[in-house]
Amino acid sequence: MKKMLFIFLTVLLFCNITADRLELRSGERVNGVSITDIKEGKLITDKEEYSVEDVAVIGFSETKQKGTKAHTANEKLSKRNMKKYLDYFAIGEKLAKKYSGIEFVHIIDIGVNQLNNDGTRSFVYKFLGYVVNPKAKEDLSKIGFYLDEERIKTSIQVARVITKDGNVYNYDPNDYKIVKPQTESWSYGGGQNKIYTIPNVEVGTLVEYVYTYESINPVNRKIFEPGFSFQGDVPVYLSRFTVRLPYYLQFKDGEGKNVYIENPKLKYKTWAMDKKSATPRVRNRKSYKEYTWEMKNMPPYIEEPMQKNIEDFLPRMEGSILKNRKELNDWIGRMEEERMEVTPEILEALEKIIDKKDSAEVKLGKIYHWIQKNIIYLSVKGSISSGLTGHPAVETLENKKGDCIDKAILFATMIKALEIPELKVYPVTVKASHDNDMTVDIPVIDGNHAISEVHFNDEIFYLDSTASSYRYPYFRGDDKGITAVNEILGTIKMIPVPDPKDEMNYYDVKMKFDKKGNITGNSVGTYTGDYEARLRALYLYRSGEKEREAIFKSMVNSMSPKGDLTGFELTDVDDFFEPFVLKYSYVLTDFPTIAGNYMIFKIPGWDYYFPSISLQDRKYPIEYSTSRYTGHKIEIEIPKGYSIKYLPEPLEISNEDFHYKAEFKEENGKIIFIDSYKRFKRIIEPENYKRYREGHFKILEYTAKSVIIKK
Amino acid sequence: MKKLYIVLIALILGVGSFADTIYLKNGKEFKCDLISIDKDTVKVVLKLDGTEQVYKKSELNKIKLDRTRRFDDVKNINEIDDKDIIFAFNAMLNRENFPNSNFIKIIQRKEIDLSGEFPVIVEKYVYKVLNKDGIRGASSHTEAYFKDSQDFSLDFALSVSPTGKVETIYENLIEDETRYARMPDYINSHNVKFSIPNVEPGYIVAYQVTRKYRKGSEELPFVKDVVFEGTVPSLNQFVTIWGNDSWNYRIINKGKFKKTVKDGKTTFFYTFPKEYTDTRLVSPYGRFAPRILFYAGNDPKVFSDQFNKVINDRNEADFEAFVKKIDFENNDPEYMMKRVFRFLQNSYTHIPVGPGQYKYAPRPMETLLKKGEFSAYEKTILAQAILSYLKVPTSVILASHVYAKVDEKEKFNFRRYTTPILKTASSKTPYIYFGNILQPFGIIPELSYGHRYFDITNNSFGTLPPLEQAEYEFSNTIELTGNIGENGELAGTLKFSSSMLQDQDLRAIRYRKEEEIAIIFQNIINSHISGASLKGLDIQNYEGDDEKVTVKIDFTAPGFANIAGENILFNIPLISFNGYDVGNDKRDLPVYLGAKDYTKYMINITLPEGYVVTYTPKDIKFCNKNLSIISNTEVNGSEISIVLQEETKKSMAKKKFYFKYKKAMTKLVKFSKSVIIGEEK
Repeated sequence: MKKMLFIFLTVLLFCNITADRLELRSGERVNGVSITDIKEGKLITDKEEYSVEDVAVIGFSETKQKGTKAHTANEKLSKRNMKKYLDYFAIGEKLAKKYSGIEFVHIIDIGVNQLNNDGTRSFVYKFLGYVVNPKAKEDLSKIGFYLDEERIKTSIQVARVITKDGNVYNYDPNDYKIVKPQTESWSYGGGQNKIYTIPNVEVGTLVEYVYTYESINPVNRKIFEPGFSFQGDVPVYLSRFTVRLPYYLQFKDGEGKNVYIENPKLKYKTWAMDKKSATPRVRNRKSYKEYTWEMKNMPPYIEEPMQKNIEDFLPRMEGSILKNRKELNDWIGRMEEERMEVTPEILEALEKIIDKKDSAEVKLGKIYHWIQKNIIYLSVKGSISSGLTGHPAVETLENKKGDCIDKAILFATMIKALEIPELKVYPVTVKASHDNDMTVDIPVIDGNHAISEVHFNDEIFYLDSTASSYRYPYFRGDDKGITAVNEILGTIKMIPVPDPKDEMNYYDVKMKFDKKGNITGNSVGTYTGDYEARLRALYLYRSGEKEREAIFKSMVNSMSPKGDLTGFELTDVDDFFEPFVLKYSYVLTDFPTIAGNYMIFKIPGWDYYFPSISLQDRKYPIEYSTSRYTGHKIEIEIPKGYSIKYLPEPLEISNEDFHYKAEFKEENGKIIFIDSYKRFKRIIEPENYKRYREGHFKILEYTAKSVIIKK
Repeated sequence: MKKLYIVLIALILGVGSFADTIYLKNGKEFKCDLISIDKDTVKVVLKLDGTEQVYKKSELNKIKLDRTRRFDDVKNINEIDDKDIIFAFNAMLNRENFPNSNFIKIIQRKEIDLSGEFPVIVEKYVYKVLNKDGIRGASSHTEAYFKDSQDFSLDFALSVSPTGKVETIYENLIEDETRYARMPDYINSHNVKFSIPNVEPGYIVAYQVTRKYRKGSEELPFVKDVVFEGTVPSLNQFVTIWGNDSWNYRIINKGKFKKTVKDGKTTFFYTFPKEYTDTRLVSPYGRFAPRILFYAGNDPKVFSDQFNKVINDRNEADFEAFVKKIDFENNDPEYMMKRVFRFLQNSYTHIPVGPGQYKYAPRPMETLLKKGEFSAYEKTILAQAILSYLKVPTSVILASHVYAKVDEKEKFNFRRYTTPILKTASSKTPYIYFGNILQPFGIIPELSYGHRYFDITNNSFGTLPPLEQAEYEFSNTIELTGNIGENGELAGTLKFSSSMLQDQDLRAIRYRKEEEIAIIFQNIINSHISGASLKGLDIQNYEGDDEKVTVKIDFTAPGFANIAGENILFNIPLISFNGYDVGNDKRDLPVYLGAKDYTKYMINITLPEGYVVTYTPKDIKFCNKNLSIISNTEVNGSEISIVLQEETKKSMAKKKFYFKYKKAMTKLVKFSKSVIIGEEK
């Protein structure tokens, strides 16, 4: 009887949605219409006519929408349920006591990701949390869904608040708002969200909800990538994830071809899980095979400053039903190649950028520089194709705007147009450092950035035209030491961390002290890599003489407020073929401490800042973007009649992570100081941290030392 | 059939003009022009190659339609009739005229039509891009509006190349976003962001927006506040106003405005060709730049009624049930105020909504009583309602502050009174502020002390008392006591407490996990003394809001002092200043010193046995009506004691003060970088 009632309810809760849908510019949404014609500026539907000017979007859908069974009234828990929920309260209170400073206790965190025979899929999620802190109220009282009526259907089965005395406050399914969240100023094409509110969320209550997220019209039905994280910044009592795969798949693909897959297999990878937790419980159900992972009593994680992305150290799983990356690469690679069409516009643009007599490498460099300078960073996304593979090269060229993949596609297309057999450029997908590592050992779509892989003669190297100030062959720091997936060639390669000399800032300084303690000095700075690009970007933006002078004055005043800039010079900031050099000269008045016959001073402008070494111990690695080289050669002429009383002893520290060498010496009555700091690695492992920290403190101690000269 | 006409032009002139976008079910998308649509199919012309395509509806996901705007069918400047765009196009202005600007505003025109029931404001901007780094600034913009009380339209947005080629914007480069999507009650606050394509140095960029006001959820007096100077040179600025006779204006801060009246319309003209390159120590331009306040029907009561309505329009039974959630042990007004404060602060989340950010009036009482999160002004309104119900007299005031200073003569501009405060009859706790939930009881934001307020309960104006520096709770103290060992290591204790105006960060540790707290204070000790390691930590009073939070850190700092032969040398710890802000030798703008502030540093260091202090830097004494910096150093054999007191007395000073400030900072930096020398005896 109970079962019959359920079926009856289910039938009632399904309703047909007719084909078309309109989003009006007023924000109103019109569902369930059939558009029959456009004439004289009117969009004619089977119900009403709309001015074309008033319509923002026409959506096409053929599916049935599942209705929502809603509990709307407030109610009391039954006696049986009361006992169960009192147990949950007890768990919440116990963990709230155990872990200070948490916003809520995550008691139940259960997800079920199911793939259906026709390639559609659903995700059912159950949440139960105990509210500890008022700060959690705002977050826990909202449930938001991404809105894409043509592809996604969402429904809430339960959303309620339970008080300890058994009162239940259900959400109102009619109480929702459709919003378009703010995105970065350079980002266009963001979607809308539907936000529901759960009432009466208070400290000491339980918040419970269950929702279903159905992907009714996946872009590529062959791709199914379940994934789940089992730990967060609050304690988790029970976290469970189930993947259900059907015994066969049968559907038409994006090109309309019939596809049949027998027994799809789940390839998966887990992180930070012991063997037992990482091995799923597998059960063969009637119409699907089920894999379940479960973790219990997970403490909240604590992040450390400058650490490698926490995601890499938390228990999680990712999976895929593809046999290997080939299918993924073919699909994405094909879309990329479709966008790399050489058109007359591209050939015309190339004629202005390069000289036919240029060598292949000069052409490569010129095009690299041109795209950086002339294509403004702006991202317009609207579909999976523009999201993954950008816009056609000619569109980016015409609009003079594009994001990373747009620029990488244009770059590859321009090089393709040159028809130089030994030179090829491909767009590649990467995950820029400071995010978690890209998953490449199972066939999933991953990455947050696109750059360019250059094949030149027998050499393979990388360039990134996203930024605007990198001199060939340098590229963005956060692209180093990460994996690059070339979908067109189907290869996966590691981008090396460069030799420190390619991430350099080096200063050649000459100073002359007079008897009053005034210093006349000049400094020549030479740069490579990221450091050079950041300086170029600064001076490209601050291009006025007055603006630049103000920057140099600040540099002088950072050494001493009694400092005067006497001159400055920089190489052509717009000439990307020449190294960038900054020169400035100054006078620092009354600089050293004069104590009787002594002049005591630290070398102006020579200091280091190492924010990564504040902690005494570390659990997680430190992550830098790239390697580093900083060097100084400082020549100090002391006043006549003075002699050197004290110079710090030399210092040298050397290990696999970094090398530092510094030495003061006297040469012909002058003080010569030379130092060199080279960090080879971008990741410092916790087991090497003690050595790393102590070494860097020695450098800081050394920079605090003073020189003493005596009359 | 206008659309078809546009398609033909697009085919002739190629891609880049405005376009619809078609999204296929297989994930692909194309720019196109929609030609026809019937029951089963959709016909489009693809922008990429000009081919006609017919799709079954079942193959399609959606079509995003472009909207026709003014000048969309124009391809050349010769076809444009807008005199401002033509003027800008013909103006011979380039980078040589403005060597420190990446782009300039040639025309800014605001037209305010008050002739109808509701105002209509049209704003037009015409820019010239001077170099590549000016492209983004000139071509990407954001305009805010309130959806429930304004009809907003982007009338046109285009670029003109030096040869006269016109490019107009298209729909994919326009987005109407909700400013705070996670707060459903405030979703009427919108931003329209847009980016004009294909802009290069030398191009003109122009756009126009119209806001038509209509009856919305709030009744607000008409006020338009226009600031005429900023970071971008703005050569020709016009504000034209007409309509009924009730409008008026007031010029705030000095400025050379040219006023003309023609055909019943009044126009104000202002030119600002100057480039400000010194951006240090500058407060918001609205504080000192020429401004005009335009207003009509400017009765503050219209505004305050929106607030008072929330308090008065309530279901008494629901309200009483809400008040009953607070348990009172006695009827002492001071106790009851504190109890209400703690109840609202501890039980309800703070949402960062100030008057004007998302909407002006608080949500209705009926809504508030059901909510779990309140803004500061909603808590203030609720506290007023609860306390008046309990017969404790209070009123709600909205205060201006440093960034939005108003003077006594200035007409009411509700946008400048943004800090809600509960004014009480108590001499002990005259003001209560519900901002940050970590704000102690009776402490109001430091930026509001001494500033004007509007009392919405009594419909009157007043001024908050000045911040009294000498008060214990408004001072920062930082004390270091330590001994230097023979190896140069400093072992000591650092004690500090912040002003109760600024100690929210310290109080926030109540929401931190234990390990996080250790990380935070390890970072703090390192920021004060390089290389120091945390050895012990004791934090007091962070959970309450009556007392100052005090922190005591035991630490060791190896290599603190440098033993050089018979000498020992070290820098003064804790006191660290640099000369970045005083680099310039000239000053164009007033000096902004930040909020009023008093900090006292106390440093007591003992040298290793056998050493005596032989050299200390010369003390500083700088005292002025804006700022004072005074140090006092005392030596007793191997012990040195330094006390430095720094007091910011005024937040903004005249530009001539800059040179005195530079002198004072020079001495302070020199002092902070000085070496203390000891000698073995």
